Amino acid sequence: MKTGLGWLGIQVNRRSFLERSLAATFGVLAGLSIGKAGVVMADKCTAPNGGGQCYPDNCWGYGCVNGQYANCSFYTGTWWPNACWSCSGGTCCDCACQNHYGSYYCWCFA
Amino acid sequence: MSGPILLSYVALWLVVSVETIAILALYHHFAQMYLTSREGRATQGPVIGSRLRPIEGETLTGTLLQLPAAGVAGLLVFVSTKCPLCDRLRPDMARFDAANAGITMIVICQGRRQDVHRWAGNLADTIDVVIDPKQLIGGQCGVGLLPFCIGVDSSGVVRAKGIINDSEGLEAIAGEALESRTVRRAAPVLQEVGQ
Repeated sequence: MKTGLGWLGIQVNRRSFLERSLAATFGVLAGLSIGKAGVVMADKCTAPNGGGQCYPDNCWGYGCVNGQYANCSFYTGTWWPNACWSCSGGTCCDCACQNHYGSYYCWCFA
Repeated sequence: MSGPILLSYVALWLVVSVETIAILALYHHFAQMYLTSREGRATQGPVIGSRLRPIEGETLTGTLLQLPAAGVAGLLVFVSTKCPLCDRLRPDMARFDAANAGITMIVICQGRRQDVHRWAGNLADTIDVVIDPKQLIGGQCGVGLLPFCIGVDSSGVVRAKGIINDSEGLEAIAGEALESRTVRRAAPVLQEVGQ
């Protein structure tokens, strides 16, 4: 199943028209399912532990930076820095952040 | 076929078509989520220990290149003309290639020929840059996220792979893929120009 999902993602993303059409279809149907007439944009990035998007002031472009409420830095890989990657015309970065309540993961996108 | 039956027949096919597209869109969404998750990123590229499937590509100079090259270990770096991280990696690749003459580096760049030409610039003078306009080579290698590097040993077996952000990633993959004694750390630019 996982192999199939990976293959599907790569093959669909290879064809930008198909990718955009399917993303738009998903957006419209997701919007309708929650009673919104507009398109609901799906997230392009995924942070570790299912984290969401960082606070706007913790992102400088796709980079992770310190902000008013939290200090963030790139969440790098185990062997070499690989916190950021590009896909479908955008760049995502994994950020590890710390605020008054503890630490969490989030992502920046540009 | 009477009117109401024909109408219901058409309506049914319409519903089936819409549902098919909706299911595909849903799978695409989950595939996208999986692809960008840490687990999905780790499974990108060919399996470590497997033999790299033969790849054929045309370089910017018009040469037809067969990969992996027989008896030569090397790094395959996947980039794109539309990827800002790949732009930042360009000087690192040039430095690494200059500092490690014993390692073949081949850059596989997604994009149109003229864009790849513009993107590569001087890099194409020293490193083979293969054009991958339809992301066929990337798709064949299972690479969907960039910049991505695959380290192949002299027998064509994949020894290391992963998303890279800078020269440290190139060195780590080269170090894992090849005999560590052949890999030297890329010298800083200032030392290279003798300042």
